[in-house]
Amino acid sequence: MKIKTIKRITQSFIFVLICLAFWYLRYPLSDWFNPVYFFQLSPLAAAASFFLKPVILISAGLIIFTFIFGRVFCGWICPYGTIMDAISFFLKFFRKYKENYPKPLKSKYFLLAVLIILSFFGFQLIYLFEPVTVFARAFYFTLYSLKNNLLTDLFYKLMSADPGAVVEGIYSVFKSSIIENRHVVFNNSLITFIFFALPLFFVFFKRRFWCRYICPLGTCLAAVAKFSLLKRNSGICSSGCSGCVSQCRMNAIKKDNSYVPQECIVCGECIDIPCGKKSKFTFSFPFKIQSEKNAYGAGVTRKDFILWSAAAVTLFFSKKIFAKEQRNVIRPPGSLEEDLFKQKCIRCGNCIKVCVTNGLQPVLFETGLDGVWTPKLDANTGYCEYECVLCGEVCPTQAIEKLSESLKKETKIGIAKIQKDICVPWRDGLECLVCEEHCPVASKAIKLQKITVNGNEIQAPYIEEELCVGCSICENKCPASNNNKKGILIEPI
Amino acid sequence: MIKKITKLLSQNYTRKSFLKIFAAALSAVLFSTLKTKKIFAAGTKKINPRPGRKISTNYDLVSVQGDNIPLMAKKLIDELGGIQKFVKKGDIVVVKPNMGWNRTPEYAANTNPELVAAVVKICLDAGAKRVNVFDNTCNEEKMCYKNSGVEQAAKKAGANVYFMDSFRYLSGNFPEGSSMDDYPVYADAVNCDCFINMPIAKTHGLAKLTFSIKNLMGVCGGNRSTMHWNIDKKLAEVLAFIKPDLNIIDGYRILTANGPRGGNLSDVKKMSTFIASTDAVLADAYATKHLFDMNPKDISHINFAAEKGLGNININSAKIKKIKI
Repeated sequence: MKIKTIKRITQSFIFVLICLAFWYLRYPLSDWFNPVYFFQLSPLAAAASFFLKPVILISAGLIIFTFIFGRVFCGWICPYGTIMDAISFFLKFFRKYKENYPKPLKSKYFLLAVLIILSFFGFQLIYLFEPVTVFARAFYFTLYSLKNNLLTDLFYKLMSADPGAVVEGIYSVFKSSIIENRHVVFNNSLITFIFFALPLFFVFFKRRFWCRYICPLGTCLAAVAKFSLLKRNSGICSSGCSGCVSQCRMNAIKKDNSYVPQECIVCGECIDIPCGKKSKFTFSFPFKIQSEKNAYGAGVTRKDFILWSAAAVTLFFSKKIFAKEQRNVIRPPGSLEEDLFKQKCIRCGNCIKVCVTNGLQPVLFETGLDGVWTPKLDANTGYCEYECVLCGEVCPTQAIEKLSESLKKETKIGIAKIQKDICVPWRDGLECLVCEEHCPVASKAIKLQKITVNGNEIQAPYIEEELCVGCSICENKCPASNNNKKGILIEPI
Repeated sequence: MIKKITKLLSQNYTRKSFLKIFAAALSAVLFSTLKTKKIFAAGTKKINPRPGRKISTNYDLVSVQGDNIPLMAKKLIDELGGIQKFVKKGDIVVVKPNMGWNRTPEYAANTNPELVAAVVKICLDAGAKRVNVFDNTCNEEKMCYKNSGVEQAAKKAGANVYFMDSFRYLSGNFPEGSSMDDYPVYADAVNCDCFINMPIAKTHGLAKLTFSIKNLMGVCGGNRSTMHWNIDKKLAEVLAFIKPDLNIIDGYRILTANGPRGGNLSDVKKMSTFIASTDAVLADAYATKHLFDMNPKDISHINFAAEKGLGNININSAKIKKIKI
């Protein structure tokens, strides 16, 4: 079997596995089949979380793996890379990719440096480019919700028409295994998808455009892979047919058949090509570096340095300008302080996906320039389930702390305010008390008082602010609304 | 078309062609993610009120006190005249417990799972074809079904426990001028041979107390929050619509304050009582009097239902059997 075929099968298998793990990230949570570990693989997640113990342990595993085998993660595991390979596989029927060894760009190293430096100075932008989270967000916010909603609608239509035992059988198997029993809606899902799809367009030009020129995770691994034990050994080939040069999707083989190990993603396709002297991957001594010092051309020039530092400084100050000092959205329970939260959150979307009520939503610019895709609790779509601590359990960087159930019940995320101009008892003198009924606090944070409106003596709700935890179920269930404003409103604290 | 695409894909790339492809793909994405029509509202199909069964029982109401839950359940139904009066061979039975809250059984927010399991078993032993157990929950359904313990217990007893499907809510054919308008009602709750209503006795902010009548809210869909406006009238109409054949009130543990959701173990009182009646109003009135020591006429939704002629609120005129085990 060709290595290419083995690689494709492995890639598809891992891709399906990842998608399943993402799909089944929901209540009840599986202990082992959990994508959290997958996010913790990335050394960038370790940097973002200030080297949190579990993250650093798992990402160190990836670094050691890369040190031995090279960038196998990029070539065989990364879901974003798999998608690109799949697209270029189909495009191959229409067009021929020909590589003629342009020099690899060193800009990605600068990008990585800027990202990490900014991250340490409190401006997290790693999530913009981290391929695993880019894919995860698109999967959660767009693909998952779209597929679920379409399937739900399809079955709604089918089942309304009494389709018979077969469809009903399929439905009863699908119900709450493949489809949720409801519509799942995420804000800004289209923007998230465009952000995910944009780099995929460049596959038209270069098969692994993203991995070559941008990907910070790949760059991170490249720095390690330079010394990797597994190295391509081209043997004594000097025929100059450059078949492998034009095959290599990463430009890791130069025209003279020498080799740039940090660019190689070990896809193995250069072994497959019909060549008289077959090139091989073998274990070789680590520090015997071939003469590829000038793989990227000159080192750090003054121009580069000025350009990228200017970019970093501009970004940093633009964050300062557009920053929101106060927390102006309701964060999940257990969230760190606002600044630290935005720094540590890698925007993987786990908490948003796992939320049982669909209450957590990604924000766009509501919380400032540095808060894109962070979670907020949106009472229009859901509420915070009182006994549920899932969001803390699935956070890979502990931006949302793991809370025990009893601690979570005391964690305040907001405070309810009754809007007396909308609330039905206060405004119309009609008894309602839906909020009081739903209030999960054991001794009720919403209490009742007797008031007289229009001559009727009725019971009306008021808030016991000390008890209110801000779970938003009252706002979510409130039947009174005026211009999308409910009779009770949760304010963040 | 295919040739065109092939040409587009195989040509050399210029900025123009790239923009073309990009624009095409963007519009495709935009088109495909156009918001699908919200179809969770009730469909156009209407559903008629449940006819209900005329059942004459030995007593108007039976109340049983004890500690052995399966035995109490059996005794309860036997004293009414046996399960054969309610469940015929091959019947499809609905057991509607209250499992609307994400609370474990000891908090007395949901119907006792052992009682549900016992009743399910009795129905199946009587030859019921299928026993359906469901509830439209207030909290997240997966958590409610699991943490209330009802799902596990009823499934073990052989019941068909499932999450309610959005497409099975049909707008109810309520009488002209009804305050319910055309509220969606769950089809499975109406299209059944026997409906066993199994509430738990607890307090409620708006309705003061909640038993059998209020428990029927769990078969309604739509925006249930608005049902709380003029709740007395609406509940009476739902009761007339569903006409439960048997009401079994779980008074094993009752919630005496901070209902209906509870959360303090100190609010829970163990009464070890089950109450059964074919008359929901009578059962509620009896539970009001004997579990909470209140006057049934003070509970407006029970009083209203009695005034509408849906049942007997006068406990003294009813034939009542009390048992202690």
